[in-house]
Amino acid sequence: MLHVIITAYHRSVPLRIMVNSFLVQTCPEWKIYIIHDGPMPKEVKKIIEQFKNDKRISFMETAKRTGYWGHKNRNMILQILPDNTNDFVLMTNDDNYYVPVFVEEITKIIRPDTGMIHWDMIHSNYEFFPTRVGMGTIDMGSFIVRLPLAKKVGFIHTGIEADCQYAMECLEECKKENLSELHVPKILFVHN
Amino acid sequence: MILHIIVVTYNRPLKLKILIDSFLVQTCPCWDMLIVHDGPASDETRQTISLYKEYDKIRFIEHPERLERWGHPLRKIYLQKIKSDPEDFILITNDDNYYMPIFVELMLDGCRPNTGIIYCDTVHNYFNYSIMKTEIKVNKIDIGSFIVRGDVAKVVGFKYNYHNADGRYAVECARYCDKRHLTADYCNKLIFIHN
Repeated sequence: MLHVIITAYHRSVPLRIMVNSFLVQTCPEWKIYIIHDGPMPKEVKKIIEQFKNDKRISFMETAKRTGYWGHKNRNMILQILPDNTNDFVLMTNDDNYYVPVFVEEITKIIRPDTGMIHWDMIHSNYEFFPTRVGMGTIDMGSFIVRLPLAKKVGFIHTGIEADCQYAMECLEECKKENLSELHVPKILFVHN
Repeated sequence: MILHIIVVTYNRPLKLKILIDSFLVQTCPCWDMLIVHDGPASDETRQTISLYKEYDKIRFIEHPERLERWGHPLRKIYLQKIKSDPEDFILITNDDNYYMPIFVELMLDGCRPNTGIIYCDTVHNYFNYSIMKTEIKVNKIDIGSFIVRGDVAKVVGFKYNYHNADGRYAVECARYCDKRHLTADYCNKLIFIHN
């Protein structure tokens, strides 16, 4: 199972694209957790309403806006996910897009010793962005991490490069636990 | 200058929703969309379309009978029916594609007075979601990756019903542009995903 944590803030139609890009996935093994940073405005509530009957999608809002690009909210949801060893977690933003074979492509290569998988993307300058773990070479939404390992590392940083730091710390932990890092050389993700 | 978008669809409402939404979040609002359903639509498709009833720029037509052939016969019909000024541009695309939010802005910004056709690169599902460098040649260009000046598109017409008719249409548009001393311009950005 792939657990997808989406941090959202006041962007209704992009959020609908993001969620629909999972609803049309060729592999149904995913669950979405949308966390809105602060109370949802009515436009976002209207979009959320469209998904209320789908048990794979849950949504919540924080009482107040926390800021920090939603990073604190990511960790809050991460830590309450079930401790399933075989599951993976993806953290992403509300305005991204995944191609319909995304879940299928990444789940089919998972082996018992896989700790982390990343894939290539189109970045917001709309050029090819070959992903690798490092500062400035990976982005939120372009990698998944085995769930217990992700929880152990935690999403603890709050700066603009917190996603890179988290990816690097996850890779370090993979090495300590003899888990492997895999790369899918396909463009499976658009970072808007 | 307006980009007129013709989308032929057949009962894929969720995918269609992504396509429509990808235009609703465009940075440039100079577009309108005609969605043509190949035959009578399902209730689910009609319900999806009703989500967009507040948008005057989005129109939906159910063609009375299903014509199939990858939607090509409907492209031919509605390309001629669509109202456009000669300087406007026309995009013909599929219901399961995705455009980046800057697509309309980049394509229209790239238009010069003598531009006849503009094309961009594609992330293509047939090539395992790798980059297809677009060229105006049959099998090197895909419907959805190029826009054509309105008067050029209407004179050339979308004539053929075979699988790669889109490539042939692009090639014929480029040839006609050449005769009229109009240019084929290339936008060097990955702003289109063909699913």
